[in-house]
Amino acid sequence: MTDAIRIRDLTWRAGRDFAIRDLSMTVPTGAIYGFLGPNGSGKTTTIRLMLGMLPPADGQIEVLGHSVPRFAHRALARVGFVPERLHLYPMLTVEESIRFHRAFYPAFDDAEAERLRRRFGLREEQLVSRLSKGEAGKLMMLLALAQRAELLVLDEPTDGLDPVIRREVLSALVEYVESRAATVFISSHLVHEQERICDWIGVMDGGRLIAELPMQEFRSGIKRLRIAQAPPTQDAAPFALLSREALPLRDEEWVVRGWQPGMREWFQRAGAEVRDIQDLDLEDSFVELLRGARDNAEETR
Amino acid sequence: MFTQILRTQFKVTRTLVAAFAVTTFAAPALAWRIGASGGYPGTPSALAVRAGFEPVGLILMSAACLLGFLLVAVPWNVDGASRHVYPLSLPLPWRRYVSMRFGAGALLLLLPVLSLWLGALVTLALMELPATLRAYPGGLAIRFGFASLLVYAFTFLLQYLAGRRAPVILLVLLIVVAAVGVLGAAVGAGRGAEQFFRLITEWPGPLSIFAAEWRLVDV
Repeated sequence: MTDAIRIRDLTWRAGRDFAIRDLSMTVPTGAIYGFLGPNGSGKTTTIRLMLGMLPPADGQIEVLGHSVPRFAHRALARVGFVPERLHLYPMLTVEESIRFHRAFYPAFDDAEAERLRRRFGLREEQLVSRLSKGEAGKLMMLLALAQRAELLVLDEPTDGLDPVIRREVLSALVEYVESRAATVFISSHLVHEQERICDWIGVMDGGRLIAELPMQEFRSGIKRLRIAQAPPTQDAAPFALLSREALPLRDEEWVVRGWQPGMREWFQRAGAEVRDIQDLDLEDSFVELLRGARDNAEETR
Repeated sequence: MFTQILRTQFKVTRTLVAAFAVTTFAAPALAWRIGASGGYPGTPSALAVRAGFEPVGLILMSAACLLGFLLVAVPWNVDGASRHVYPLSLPLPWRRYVSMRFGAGALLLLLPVLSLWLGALVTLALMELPATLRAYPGGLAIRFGFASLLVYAFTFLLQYLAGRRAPVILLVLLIVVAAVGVLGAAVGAGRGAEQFFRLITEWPGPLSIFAAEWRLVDV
């Protein structure tokens, strides 16, 4: 299987305060890749770099086999993009916006655009500047879906939308993916939303990709362990330790990543005992991943 | 694609273009009224008419500059409100998008130019020109067109190359040109500043079009 997006050692800097550092990422073709991260972690900047809107300082970006930013326009012809904020021309009506957009995409599907317009309840004569946040989100999604893109890049597409509209937008997205076998790259900080639709997860924090793994592994591989007589170090452990905290009765609570059932033996060999194993939900896993990455960064400093 | 860009640009600037088209259409008639209404009592008729076109010529020159500048600034600000995300996400090389934008703006410039030409023709048809004067409706319209195109092209280039720094660079350039002019006038003929000012404002200098005659009628 080829990759829809391949990024290697990407670096970008904005003044002294913010930088994307050595970012490497792979989005397999056909995947729904959830790009998670807290606000300000660099998700939008990564997307802009990926689509050739910002020039990278270093590194390689390939989108649908085209090198970006050099051949970004070729990649963009096959990419449907929904930015985090409304980017359409405010003085155009819904119908004019569709006509404008269609002019740039030869595969644009008029019938699909009309079907989605009716489904989303958008009136043709509505001015873009008068659309509510939900309607604007639906119009941007309509344009991205009607252009028959092979790759959809969605930057916080449901942020700020009410639950009803969010569900409408997501179900239109899922239908599209099922019918077209398209790849989706969806950035969000809404963890539960990603859990429902994504099969890959990338987690970004402070300009770094701190984890990239299949959703199944993310869901089941991060555990909270209660350990008696915990060993002082976890060198050569078959899992990654995200955090450890002392509990009463000299027990410790460890949050680990990459946990497999057979790994209890490692603790037994170290003279410890695993008393309890808890599954974390996606949000807790996300928080623990961030905490672990930040602790590691602190220690490195 | 170009049609859609032109249509969008027209929607953004139509009020502006319409205002300039009305102004340029009315300018020759206004000039004629100033000259013929005896704004300059005691002067011979031909001189009065010619003098009436003098201030209106200045207004037209300023309008040409303002039109060229605004036809870049207004659409740029519309794109700038969304940090140029839409044009940057369209599947065409940036250079091609920019040239289409330039072409669309340049086409829209034609409307006030045509309007000036028509206004001049209508005014000339209604007025009785003194025998010693000749009318130059085509020349004035072409001059207006070139002047606005020059300002448009310069502002466009500056805006698309310098981005957010463009207003500062433009301000510095204007200050430099003004300082050279003032210095030239202050220190007298033959000095460097005055020579430089002449170099750019006299044919074939880049700003010579602004120093030329801007009257609809002349001897």
